Amino acid sequence: MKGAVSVIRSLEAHGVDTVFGYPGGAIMPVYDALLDTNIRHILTRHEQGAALAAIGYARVSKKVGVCIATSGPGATNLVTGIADAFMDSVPLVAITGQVPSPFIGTDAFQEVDVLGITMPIVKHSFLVRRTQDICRAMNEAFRLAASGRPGPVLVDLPKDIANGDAEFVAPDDGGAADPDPACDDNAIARARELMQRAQQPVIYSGGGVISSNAIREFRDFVDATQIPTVHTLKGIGALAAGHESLLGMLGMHGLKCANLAVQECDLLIVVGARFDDRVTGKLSEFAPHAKVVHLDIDASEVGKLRRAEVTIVGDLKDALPRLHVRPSIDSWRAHCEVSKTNHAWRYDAPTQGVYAPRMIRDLSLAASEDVYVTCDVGQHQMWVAQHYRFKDPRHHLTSGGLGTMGFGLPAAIGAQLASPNSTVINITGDGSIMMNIQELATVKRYGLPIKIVLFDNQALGMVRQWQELFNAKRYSQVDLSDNPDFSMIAKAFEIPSMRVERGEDVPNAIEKILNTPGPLFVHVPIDTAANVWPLVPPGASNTNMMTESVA
Amino acid sequence: MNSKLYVRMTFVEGALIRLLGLAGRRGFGIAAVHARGAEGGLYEIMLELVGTRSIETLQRQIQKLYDVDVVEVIPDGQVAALKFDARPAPFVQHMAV
Repeated sequence: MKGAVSVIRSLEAHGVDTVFGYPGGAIMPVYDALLDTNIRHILTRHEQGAALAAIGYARVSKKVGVCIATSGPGATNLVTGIADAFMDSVPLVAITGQVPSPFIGTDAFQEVDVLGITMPIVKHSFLVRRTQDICRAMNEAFRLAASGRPGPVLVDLPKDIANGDAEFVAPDDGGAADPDPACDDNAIARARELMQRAQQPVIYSGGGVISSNAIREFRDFVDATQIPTVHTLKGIGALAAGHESLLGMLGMHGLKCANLAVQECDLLIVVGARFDDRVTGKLSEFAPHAKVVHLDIDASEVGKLRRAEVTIVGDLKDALPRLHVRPSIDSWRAHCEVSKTNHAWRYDAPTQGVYAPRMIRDLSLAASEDVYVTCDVGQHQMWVAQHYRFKDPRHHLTSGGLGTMGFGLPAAIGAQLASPNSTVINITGDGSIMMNIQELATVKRYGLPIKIVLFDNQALGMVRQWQELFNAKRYSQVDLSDNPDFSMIAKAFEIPSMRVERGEDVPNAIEKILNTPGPLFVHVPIDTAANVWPLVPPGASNTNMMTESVA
Repeated sequence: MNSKLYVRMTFVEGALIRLLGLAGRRGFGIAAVHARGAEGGLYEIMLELVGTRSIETLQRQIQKLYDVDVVEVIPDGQVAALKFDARPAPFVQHMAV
């Protein structure tokens, strides 16, 4: 069979049912082979959309996402998506066409060294030099993408190799990921000892809980230990909103009670998190009184930024059930509970217009647990993280590590295709939506019933907020008051739209968002001056949270 | 602060660039690189690095590279015991899986 056909057979062998991509010259053999398979190809309108949609698909389906592009600009357009998958540990296989082997290194038309460009942002990459290596490269790519800490793998396929004669080589073990290693007994014993002695412990959980599919084990762990728990942006939903032990999100835009608990704790149990700078604030002043127990599948994350007294490297599903230690912390729990009450969110902002945090909160209260929410990046992203009450972590899709504006719409496309009977809502901003607005054509082409809720403050709001607070209101290149007419844009793609300008119109809008059968574009103008609170200034300790009254 | 790492890795296309690029991105200057072919299509590399970050963390990051077989920190004062093969390394252009 042709090499390109063996690529498709490999995808089939790994259980791939949906791929996202965009054809071009060097990848034509693969697109020809796609005509003879049942694998569904989703044609996006930009390769970045393909990569981000594949991420959305992977995060909802729990499968490896697949995106395909041609050489040169097709490959470079995938780069942001590949980086996003790398930073957020999403299993992704990116297949790129490459110029024919004799042309590599000659500055040929649409030639780019995508292997070199992507080296810092992949788990591994293969430039396939021999046709007989195609299937082995594909098998390794899928195994690597899904094993251990998940991430992206690139397979770069020169056109002559794709057109050569190949034999299909089936994956070992049906293409299963490597089993995660069990955890060290001694480390578990030392962690239990620290937990038993702790007087003010806090659990700090992250995206690793979700990546490792250890949600049930994590919830059992929290319930068994009764330890107050905070989470990162990527850890939202691992513990359902409203859980009695949950203090909320920590970090730059976290809840004050969550940050204060971490600053006061004497033991920090870090579960699948990595001390990101948006979480810790000034690292040297983060959790200053705490001993640290750090659990992670990735040994290189342990001790990278904060020394841990106990490190537990391995599968959370193995470790967490062995840490069911309940310390005597009634007074500490009571202290955290009071703090939680004192610093609870308020939704009584005096405004005639729409107050975005309240609309997001009300939307989540009206929505079923099966609703998926994708975000872009900026103020609306933080409002979703703060105010949408997630019950399941896989229902919150956000670009955490890379912070990719333009993530939300393609991710919603991937999520909707992975869960066709669910309601998928993309909550976005007027800066972000324009980054991948072309994917409205994909929504239309495939008849996807995605709801787009655009909070439009006619500005790059988060940058504007920082310029207001930290640059003496010297606003530089954040004005978007010349935004296009979004209702006309929606109409051009045959997507119904509505405009929500007053607070009293929000209930009707929420009803429409949740009950309209097809796609819907909801344009919500909001106050340009509305900011995200609270806020830890960059470089400051998490103890020093700015609130609206201080600003 | 200077550190030394011994790395044994498969000598395939891009492997050395991956190794050096990773060390640089993670905050280490590369003071010297000694590399030679070894038995079994492997490559032995001695890296002399300059940096203030934890060399043990870099060791764990390098260990994650697909092509790396062994990576060890060479303690201060210890002379590296590389027994370089006198032959040039066999460059493998195709992938090794």
